[in-house]
Amino acid sequence: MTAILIIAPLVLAALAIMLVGEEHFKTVKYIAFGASIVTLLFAILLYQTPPGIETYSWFSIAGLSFNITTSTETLNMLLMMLVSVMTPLIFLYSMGYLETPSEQRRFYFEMCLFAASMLLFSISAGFISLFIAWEMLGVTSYLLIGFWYKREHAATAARKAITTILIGDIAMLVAIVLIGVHYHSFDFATLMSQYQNTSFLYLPLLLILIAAFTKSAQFPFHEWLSDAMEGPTPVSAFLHSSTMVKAGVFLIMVLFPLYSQTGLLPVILIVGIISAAIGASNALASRHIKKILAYSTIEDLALMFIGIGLGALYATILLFFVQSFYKALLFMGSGAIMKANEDEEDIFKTYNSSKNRKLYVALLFGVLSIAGVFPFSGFFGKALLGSAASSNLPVYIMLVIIELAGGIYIFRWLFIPLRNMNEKEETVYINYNSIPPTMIAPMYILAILILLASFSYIYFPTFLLPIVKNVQQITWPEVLFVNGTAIVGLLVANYVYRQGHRFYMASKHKNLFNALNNSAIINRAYVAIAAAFMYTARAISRFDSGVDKFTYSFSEAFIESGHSIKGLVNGQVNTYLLAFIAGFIILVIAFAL
Amino acid sequence: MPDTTSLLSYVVPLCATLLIIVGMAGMLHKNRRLQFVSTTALLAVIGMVSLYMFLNGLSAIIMDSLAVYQFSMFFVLLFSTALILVNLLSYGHSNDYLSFSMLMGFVAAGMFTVAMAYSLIAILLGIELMSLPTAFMILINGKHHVEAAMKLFVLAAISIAMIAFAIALIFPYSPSLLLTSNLVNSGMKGGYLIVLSMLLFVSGLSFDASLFPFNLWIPDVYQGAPGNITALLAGVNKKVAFVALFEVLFVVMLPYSPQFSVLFEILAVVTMFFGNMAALVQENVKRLFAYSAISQAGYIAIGFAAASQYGSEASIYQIAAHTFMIIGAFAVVLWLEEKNIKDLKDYNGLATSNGFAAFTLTIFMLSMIGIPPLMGFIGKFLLFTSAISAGEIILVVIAIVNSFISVYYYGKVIFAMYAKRPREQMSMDWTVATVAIICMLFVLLLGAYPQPFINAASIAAGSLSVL
Amino acid sequence: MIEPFPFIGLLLFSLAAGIVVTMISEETHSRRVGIIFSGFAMLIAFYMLYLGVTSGSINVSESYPYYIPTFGIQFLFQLTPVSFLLAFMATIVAFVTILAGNIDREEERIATSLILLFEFAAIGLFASSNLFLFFIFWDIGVIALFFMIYLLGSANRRRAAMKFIIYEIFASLLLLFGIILIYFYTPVHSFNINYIATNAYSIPGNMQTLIFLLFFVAFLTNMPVFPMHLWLPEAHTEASTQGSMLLSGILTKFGGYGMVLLFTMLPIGQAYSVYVAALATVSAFYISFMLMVQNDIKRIIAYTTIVEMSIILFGICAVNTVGTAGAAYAMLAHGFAIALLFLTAGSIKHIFAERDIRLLRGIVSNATSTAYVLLTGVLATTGIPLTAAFIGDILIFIGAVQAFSIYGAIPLVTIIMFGAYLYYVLNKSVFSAKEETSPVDYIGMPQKVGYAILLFFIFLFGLLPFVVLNFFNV
Repeated sequence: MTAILIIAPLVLAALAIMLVGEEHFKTVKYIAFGASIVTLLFAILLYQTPPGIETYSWFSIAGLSFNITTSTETLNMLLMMLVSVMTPLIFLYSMGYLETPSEQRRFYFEMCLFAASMLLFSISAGFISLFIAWEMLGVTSYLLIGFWYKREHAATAARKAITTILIGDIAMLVAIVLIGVHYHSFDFATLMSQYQNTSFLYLPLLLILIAAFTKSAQFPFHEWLSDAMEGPTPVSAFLHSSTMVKAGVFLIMVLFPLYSQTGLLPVILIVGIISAAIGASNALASRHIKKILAYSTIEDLALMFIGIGLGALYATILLFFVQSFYKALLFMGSGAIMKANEDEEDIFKTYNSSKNRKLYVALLFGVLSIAGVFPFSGFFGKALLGSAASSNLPVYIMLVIIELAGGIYIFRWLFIPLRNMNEKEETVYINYNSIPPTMIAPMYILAILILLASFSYIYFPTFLLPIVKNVQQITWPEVLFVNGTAIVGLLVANYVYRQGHRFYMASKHKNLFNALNNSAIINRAYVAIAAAFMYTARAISRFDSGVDKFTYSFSEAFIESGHSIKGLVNGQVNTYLLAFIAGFIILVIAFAL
Repeated sequence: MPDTTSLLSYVVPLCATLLIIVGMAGMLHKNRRLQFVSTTALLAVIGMVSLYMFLNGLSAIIMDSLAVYQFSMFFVLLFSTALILVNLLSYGHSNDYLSFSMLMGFVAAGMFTVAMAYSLIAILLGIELMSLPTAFMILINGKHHVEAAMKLFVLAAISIAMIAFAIALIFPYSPSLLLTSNLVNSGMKGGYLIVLSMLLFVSGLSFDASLFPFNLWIPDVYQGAPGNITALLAGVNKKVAFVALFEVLFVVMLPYSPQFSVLFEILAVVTMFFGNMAALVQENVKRLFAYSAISQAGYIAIGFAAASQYGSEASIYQIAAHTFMIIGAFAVVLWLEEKNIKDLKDYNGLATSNGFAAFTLTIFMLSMIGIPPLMGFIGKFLLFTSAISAGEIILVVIAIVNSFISVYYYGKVIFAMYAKRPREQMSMDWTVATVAIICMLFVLLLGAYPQPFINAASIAAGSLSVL
Repeated sequence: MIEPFPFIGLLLFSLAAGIVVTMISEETHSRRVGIIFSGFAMLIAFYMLYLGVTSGSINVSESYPYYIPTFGIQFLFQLTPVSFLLAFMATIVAFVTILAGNIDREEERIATSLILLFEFAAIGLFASSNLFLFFIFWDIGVIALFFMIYLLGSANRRRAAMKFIIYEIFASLLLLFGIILIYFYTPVHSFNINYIATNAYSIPGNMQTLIFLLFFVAFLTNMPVFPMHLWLPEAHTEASTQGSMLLSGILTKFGGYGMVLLFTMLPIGQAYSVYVAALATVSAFYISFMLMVQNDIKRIIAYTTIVEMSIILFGICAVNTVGTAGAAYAMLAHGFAIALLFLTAGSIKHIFAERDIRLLRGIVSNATSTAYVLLTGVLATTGIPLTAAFIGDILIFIGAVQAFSIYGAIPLVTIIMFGAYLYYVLNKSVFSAKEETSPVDYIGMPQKVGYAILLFFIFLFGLLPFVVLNFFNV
């Protein structure tokens, strides 16, 4: 079975969308949706076939062959299935969400390209195809974040994202080059089989880690993700929560044996804890309905990195798997709430979310899952992570705090839009009936998937065993701890946001809120770095123009010196005669000596 | 040298004499056209005969004073071609063409005498015959040329005196005044005096060859003289002096080649720098070309500094190249000068008023810079290679630096000509156009396919060394 | 091995004929004449590529009667994989330049004949197997571009053209000196590149160093790489669109190709490769910083050229197969990409009569195709996979890491710097909407066809690199 063909339907769809005329804007969504269904079928077909690695030679030079290597091993299949399931759902959601005719072609073109890149990424088993997919992810992400480029924030956010990701891309490229030169191969398999002999891998792996952190929005590269929420909601639900941002985590999981060998796991663990703390705290403080979820995504990803850092691959994979569904669901829900509230982004200006029962029930699934309430699938991921951390007390304490915050902010997110509109506040036109069924339906499919994913706890060990070696069991303390944090979170959020103690708290604990809302500090740091670069650039530019001016004035002076020589020719014959004789005499003297 | 005297050998001196006679006759019949046709025909005969003799390698000695051999025939051919061009130019643009024609007879006779010289006296006579009528040529064009003519006359007299003194100094150490009389055999007793004589020769001839510091008159006279005379001065007179230098240095003073090599290293360097540096700040185009001609003389001198057959070959090539470049350039400049376009600022937008003039001038200037595949490039290439083969690397570096400097002032003229200025059309008269086209064809063709001409230069240089 | 057919002779002859025909044709027809002749040249190049691909190697060698037998100079042409790639690129870029570059349709006859002359020089230079011919074609190309800048440039073209010619003649004189020296110091005096390459070891060390320096500075000036870069931004600012396309697309490759020759010819080059690499690194960083303060769209693109050429020099001085192949491939890619960028810059100037990114807003709304092509061009410049530049970049750095270990990867950092700035430009001027700049004119079909051709080749060589990289494996 040629696994690489899985990208074909979506690539073809993208080309078709590019080629159809502007007037056929209505058909493009069906083209995209159809292609995604075909992809899903193909993925299921691929799932039936035995796993294997396929290698296609792209080109080779001086004995170094650049191969496109694909793999249908377990992890690859996991991500591939995830992407191919999510794609049709997102396209379905977009049908209702995106109505402007002029935007249809561009949107579906970019989305198809993105989904194809993601699929290519998921089946890559070598650095060349991986890097191609990696870069295409960055580019499509850039285009989609800046989809509404007419909003100034969107353009800025897109630039921030691409700049951050560019750092990762280059780090990745350096790593690839180093690995290629050292191992004469770009395949993961070669790397895995030869890694024992050298400490050389330390640097490339560190660079790959940087790349993974940029893509997966970890400290200190995390700030682009919250800005990325300027993109359309389907983009947030697809790229920036459930698929693309997990590329970094996925890459590290694939290369996990190397990381555990080189002793880089503590780095991952520390970055993960810092990022989780930042994500959770900002999610608590943010007022932007999507940014809360974005920070929550940062926290989710950070939890996965913590899992890797602890060496608990099984817990990470489970979390990796289940997180997609509930996070995508929540983003879809936030899009629906915004649509009902005239695209209002400030969560405190959205009201009456319970008016649409269908929406509210679907949201409840997502929120309970992310909070970790049994038997929703989020519970299993978090509980397993807890049991993995139980032997490491500081990490465990951090986890408890982060989970507690997680419980609070997610219920906060749920409760704030629930309020009835107060006459004193400005009135907004609210219409929960305008939400089309194409937006609600995918949420219910996801809700079902959330519940189904709970069974992965039972099902996964059998086929993940070859990768993860040891499988943890959830123990009773974790059950209590995860459910406990969820309940505490619920109570606190209820106390603060439903019973109206918000203003009192906000005024009394100003410093606390400032500390929580620390994204501004990070942004200031970014600006400072950019300013430092610009300062250097201006200094160099001044130097350069100085050199230019110097050479210019030097050559001018040189040309002017012609005047002094010209002065010899003064029009007087006696001067010429003198020169004649003097020249002769000088020559004579010179030769006499 | 085998003395295969034949009647043909006498054709050149005979025609030269006829040229003088025809010139004088012109004063009587006063028919400009007849005069033009007859002088041109005579020059053409000289040219063709010399070409024939060059190709067949004929050689002869006429009355122990003139010699027919390939070197002399090469230059007779070159000078006759150049004179045809100058004659044509003067026919169209001289105030008093008949007088010019008469004087040109003398000048031509002098040139051919130097080219064919077999004795030192012939050189002296030839130079004299050439220099003094040239001064009168300037004079006949009007009162405002008097100053230039006087300068030329006075300084030419000095230079001739120096040459005469040089010959006198050599005389005791030489069995005869023939070029071939061997100085080495007469012992080294007079070594210093011979070197002194060499310095006198070089100084005297450098006056016409425009080597610094004997060339300060050049800008004044070139600018002050009418364009056709300037073309003659820069295109032919200067080259005659170089030919004389060849004959004196590479034949008579060959044993002293280390000395004159050093001498010409110095002269080449100072001349190149003088010409180029002064040209940088010129506003008058004619004067600019005068300085450019000086710097080109400096390049030619590199071949002398190399002091080898290879070097003389390169110099010969460059002499021929520069003849065509400078005559063509001055032809265009002459035509523009008559339209009162003299300064660089007047040249602005020349391309719009006459594209052909701008194009030819550009070709000549690119050739002077040394842009391939033009003739000037091949010349410079030969000069540089000859210098390097003689181990004169520093000299080549200086020459390259000078080529680099020259880009600026040639570039200035090109910039001016192609500036976007609306100007009325100007049509070029046929004499200038013909001269420009012929010169351009030489520059282009001999640059694009230089081998035959390199061979010719090589043969000429070779025949000089076995004289 | 391509069957013995005088391809290069035919190419040069048809281009020479094209120059003559263009010059005597009428102003209104001249562009079409130019398209026909350069299109013919492009077809020949295609056919050569086809033959090369089917036979698996490129190895053309032609000789014509002696030019100057005294010096053993004959018209000896030879195509190595490197020179073939560059010549191939040159034919296409020149074709697109004639087809699409002259958006304002000014002075078409003179522009077209100068482009053909330049193409003639470029192909002659890449194909010549003789340093003397190399030099001759070099100067012809320089002079053609000089007139291109001066005759067709914008307001301050005088100073820019003067700067250009001064720098370029400086380079060419150094080159001339080097060539003469190399001629005299080879055992049997020769200008033949192959002969020199096999016998250069017998040149004494000091002389080799001198020759190396002469050539190196000459090529450095042409490429251009810091510290000889000062002429390029100014030349680009003042040159017409066509001039810029040729300047960055092809002329800078003269120096690049020369560097490849230099490092293969002189064994002493390897001793200096570390210093050259250091210089290239400094240059890449320095110019990246310079780029970050530019506002003129053409100037920005011009600076990316210098960065790219620095990176290419970096690949060349690795002196190994991968690095050299990467440099050649990067030059090929850069030729297409930069021509595309300058074409879009020209279109933008034509459409909005403005080039300052501080004043341009919302290009995408009024010039959609140009905007997306510009985006693709920027992606192609920053070396996104599937564009040709990626293959070039990764090969260069693999070669460099092979030669200089981990330090070979340092210049990659510059891609972040100038990439970030290019994205900033895109967001500020192209994909933005506040107070949109209003268009004054539109571009026509030729420009769109030009975009399409260049994009086609950018992606063709990005997707199917094995087509030409196989030549390097022979």
